[in-house]
Amino acid sequence: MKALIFGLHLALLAPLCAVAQKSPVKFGEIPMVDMTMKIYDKDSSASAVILSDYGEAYVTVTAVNITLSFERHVRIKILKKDGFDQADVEIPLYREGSEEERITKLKATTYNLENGKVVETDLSKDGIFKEKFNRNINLQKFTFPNVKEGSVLEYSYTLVSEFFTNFPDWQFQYDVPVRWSEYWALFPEYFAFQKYMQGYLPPAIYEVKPKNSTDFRIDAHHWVMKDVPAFKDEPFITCKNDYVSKINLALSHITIPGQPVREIMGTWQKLNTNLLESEGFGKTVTGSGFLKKKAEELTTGMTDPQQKVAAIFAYVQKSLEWNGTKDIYADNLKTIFENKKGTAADINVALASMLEKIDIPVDMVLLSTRDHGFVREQYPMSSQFNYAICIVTLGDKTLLLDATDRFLPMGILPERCLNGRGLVISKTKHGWIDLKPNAKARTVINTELVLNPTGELKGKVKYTHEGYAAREFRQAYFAKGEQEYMKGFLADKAWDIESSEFQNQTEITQSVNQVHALLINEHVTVAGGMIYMNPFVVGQTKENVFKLETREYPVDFGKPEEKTYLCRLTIPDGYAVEELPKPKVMMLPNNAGRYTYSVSQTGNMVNIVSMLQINKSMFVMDEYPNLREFYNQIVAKQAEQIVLKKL
Amino acid sequence: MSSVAKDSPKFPVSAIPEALRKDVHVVMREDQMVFTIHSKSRATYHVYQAITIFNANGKRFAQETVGYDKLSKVTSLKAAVYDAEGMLIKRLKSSEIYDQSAYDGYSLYNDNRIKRIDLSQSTYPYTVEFEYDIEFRYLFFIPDFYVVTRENVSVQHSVCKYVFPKELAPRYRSYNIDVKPVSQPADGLESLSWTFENILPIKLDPMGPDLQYVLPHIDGAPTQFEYEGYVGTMDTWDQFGQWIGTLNSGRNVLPEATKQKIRALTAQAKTDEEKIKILYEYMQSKTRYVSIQLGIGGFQPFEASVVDQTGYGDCKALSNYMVSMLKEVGIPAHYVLIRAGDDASPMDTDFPSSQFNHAIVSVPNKGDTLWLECTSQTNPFGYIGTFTGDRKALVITDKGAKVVNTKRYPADQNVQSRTADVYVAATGDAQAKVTTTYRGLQYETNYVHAAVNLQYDDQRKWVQNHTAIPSFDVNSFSLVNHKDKMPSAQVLLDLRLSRFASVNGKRIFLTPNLMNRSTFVAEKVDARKMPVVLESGFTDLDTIRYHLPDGVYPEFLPEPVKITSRFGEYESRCILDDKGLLYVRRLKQVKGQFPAESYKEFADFYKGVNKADNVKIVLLSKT
Repeated sequence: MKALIFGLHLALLAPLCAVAQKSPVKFGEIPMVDMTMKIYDKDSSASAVILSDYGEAYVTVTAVNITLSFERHVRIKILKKDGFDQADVEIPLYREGSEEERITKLKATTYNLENGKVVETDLSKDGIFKEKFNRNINLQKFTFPNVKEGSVLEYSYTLVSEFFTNFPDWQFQYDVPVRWSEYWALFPEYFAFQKYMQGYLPPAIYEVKPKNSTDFRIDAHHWVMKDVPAFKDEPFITCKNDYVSKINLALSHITIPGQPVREIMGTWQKLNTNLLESEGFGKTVTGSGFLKKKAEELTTGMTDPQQKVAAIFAYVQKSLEWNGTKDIYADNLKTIFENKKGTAADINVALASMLEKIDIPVDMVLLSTRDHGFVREQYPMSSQFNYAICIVTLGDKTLLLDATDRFLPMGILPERCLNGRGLVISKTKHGWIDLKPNAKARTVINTELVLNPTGELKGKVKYTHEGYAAREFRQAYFAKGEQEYMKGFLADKAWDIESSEFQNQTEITQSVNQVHALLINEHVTVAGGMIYMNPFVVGQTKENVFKLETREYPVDFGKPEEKTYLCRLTIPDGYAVEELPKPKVMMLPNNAGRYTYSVSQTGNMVNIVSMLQINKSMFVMDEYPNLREFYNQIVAKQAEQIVLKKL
Repeated sequence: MSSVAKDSPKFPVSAIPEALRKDVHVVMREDQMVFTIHSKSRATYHVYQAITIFNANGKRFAQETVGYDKLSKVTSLKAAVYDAEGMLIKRLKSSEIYDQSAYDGYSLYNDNRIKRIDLSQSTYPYTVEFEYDIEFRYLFFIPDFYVVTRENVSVQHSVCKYVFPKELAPRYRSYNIDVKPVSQPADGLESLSWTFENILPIKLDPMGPDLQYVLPHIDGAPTQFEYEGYVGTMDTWDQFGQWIGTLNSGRNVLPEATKQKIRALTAQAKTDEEKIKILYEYMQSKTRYVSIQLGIGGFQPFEASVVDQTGYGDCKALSNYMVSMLKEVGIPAHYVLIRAGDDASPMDTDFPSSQFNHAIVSVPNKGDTLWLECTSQTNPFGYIGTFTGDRKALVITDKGAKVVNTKRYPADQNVQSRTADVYVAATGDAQAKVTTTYRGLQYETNYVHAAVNLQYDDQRKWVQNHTAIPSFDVNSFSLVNHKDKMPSAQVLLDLRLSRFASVNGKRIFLTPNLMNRSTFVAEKVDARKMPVVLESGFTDLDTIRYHLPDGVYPEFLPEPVKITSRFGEYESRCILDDKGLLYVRRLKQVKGQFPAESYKEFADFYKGVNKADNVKIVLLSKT
């Protein structure tokens, strides 16, 4: 966010100062029922409750500048020791250059009930700190004195900012319940805002009240939520920020009478045009002339465009290491190639630029990674994106390319990118594109084992990893090296390995295999002429990962999965099969998941094949009970035994 | 860093002797540190390193973090990276140094900051070069020097050097090192330096002793020193303790109202222990932990009156406050410095120096010493557990200091005992009522000591996440906290187990070990050299009563298993009686250090336990 210095002809404007709204509670006046509250009636397990959270944002226009003010007034009840962390408050303050947001009128008081009397303790200045967090963020921190179970904490402040386009969003929901949450956003008529609500809770009040000040109108947007439940985190959700109840605001444009409209946000179309002309984006793709020589050299003699793309992709993937930063704008590509590493945008803009140099039709695609949350397409705000990849069109075929991951072949996006749709930035093909997985996470475990009468198993276990599973394997294997990888692999296995072989570790377009020749002694039970054996010597789903009975948010696997286990067992001479597990087929509705367990016997050979497929990545809450039961049945099926009897 | 023309090689990989390149992730080409004592309140620290990195395992060596604070300053910081031929790839620009607050995750505020550099490359091998200087406006500690910090690292050349005026000669102690220091007076200053050449990589064994006992390193400490105006010496623990005593002195004054309050609170108490408990719980109810570390505040507690007024403080402030309150009611108590953490490396008792990260309180209590952890509002009175239990600590006394061992928690007091009734239906489904008590150090098993203080929803999640049964639903549960000196937590569960037993045709398979199966597999090691260290001693008891469906009889009942070894004992058996089936299991592991050659025996012990724990009962239906 930049501080915009406007050439406003302010002579036209009289000083504008919004008439402040009122916080629903008055500082220092704590009702006795809140002082004596022992448990919160709406949620008896709450460790603290935000009694009142009030905010108000408005801009002030003076002859010299425009400032944004944000007043906040919060009152919190501490119920249990668990809730003490509510007493440490942290306010991030944005800074850029010499401009910095600042806190004024900070007040904070702790109220305790002692012998029937309310005792107040004010924040002491030893308890206030300001800390530089990084280049752009300072943290204003303070901690309440004298906090006990039963305390009521109250604070208020005004944040003053020159970054007036940075209208604060408002979060209604926190990890403790909120009794009353109220926000006033006072938009001057000249400022047009886009806003969107997220989360599953509707506001109790939403209204817009026009207000007249001296010279122009203000639209006062007013939201209230009552009795907001605590937000509970759950496993398998993409991003907590997608689900908390929150109103998001962004300034879209400014219209001052007698002046041209100033677009702040604009439209996707405008963003498209701007980005095509931007340094670090479109300009850097078409510029960066120094890459031409290398791009030509890499593709000399090639005629097939796909082959050319592959050559350039492989070169960028190998030459530039991703530094873990997700972003949209590239730095100077010359420096990036010197440093041999860069951000996601650096790498993919470099890729696009090299492709452009040899006349491959390439465009950039903006997206939001899974940990960054959903994109709301109706709100054209570039801040919804945090990542950029490339799209190449070859005839009627399109290819999405991301060269940040060394272990994924061309055309398969990293899992972090699989999040809804991306926005193609292009002169000719601007629009949205699905970011769907082009591969599964597929693992096949193939065992060929010979059982001897003492219960020892001897043979081979072969793993084949494909798609995202191959990526995961290669990541682990190359991060640690073979020796360390094997250490980790064997950490939970009582196997005697005779030899291990790895295949295709570096051939990322192919599946990767590991083959172990081994002896297993601890797996089979031999007793009184009977032998009992679970056909899974490895890869058994022993526990249901979905432990909770109900689910508040969708389950997101990210990509389709397939896990196959094959058991080819030779039974010892002198033994016959007494009992085998029964075959089974189960399906989730609409083939969202499928499990098959098949069994056959030929002579002294028993064959069992278990195959689990999850065919879609997102399961909504209504589907959760089915999904959980599906896994329950898999756990039970995979626990079944082969029974052999001595003849 | 000496300037080198861009086109002449500086660190060619080919210059590394072959022997140093075998089995390594990195080679320390140069590793020099010079610590210079200028006066008893000023020192400088110079580091120069050139490190060749051969693969991704060595990546962290390409990243350097330099810390500083209000009293220390990074006066120079330079870095560069070279390719395999030793040609310069690039020099670090100052804009590439990331400067940020050293957020430790728990301090509300501290003044520690870090400068972070990352020179990692994607093409191996490459060489990074770092050089920096830090100026300290105090003298209190000397950074440790580790010749080798981990496995798969060899050293071509390294130097540890101290420079000092004669009267401020530092003390030092070296470990696993046979090199003798060389003295070289120059410019009126004395110096001592250790030089190492061509050190081969070391190999660490799993479950071995703490690294400080194994790795070659040199610890240093000043004699006379000064920190923000506080002068001291630390040749002996007594002197160190006296300095801490000076910092704390005069900080124990309580407001008159509080004095009266705590006298009144303890007036009716019959014994000292009762008084101590009352005041400990008063302290817990009145305060909370807030960490604020600024300058000398890293070592000096807030005044007791400040804690009294604000109701918060860090470990030092809260411990000092506790000592002050006890003093007020005539009970002597001591401020104690300690190395906290369940995996903290032990205090070096023979080398007085700044080694501590935490403060607690000890109360002599007429020979029955009580240890008090003051930073928790929920900790049971007198319990210090895995955080500060059973280790050496420095008790600050009137005269100085004493090294004392804190409370021990032997294996037979750290008991997890469980009884359960499991009603198995012919379908394989079951109902289970389970009672588990976690006592002693097992009070911390799976953080049950924290779970007892959680909200209902979170307790429910705890139950769901820490019940080791393949699939189950919770009908009801409760957690009970017994806050004794040897505390315990009781967890009562009523569960519905779906397909608990596996039904195959006429057979029912059931693993009688309901929810405590050992899965530990000792890593295979060839030619072990280091002793085997077991960090904790504990006992687990499981007694599970199975109520079986009508019309089944066992086809296979496992034989009783009993394994005895120097590491512990294991016993499990299944008994069929007229009420059904009874499963009893007992596992005890002792804490201790055992000879290297016993490792196989140790691995076999757990192999045997795992096997016995996973054994199944086979039931046949009579029909």
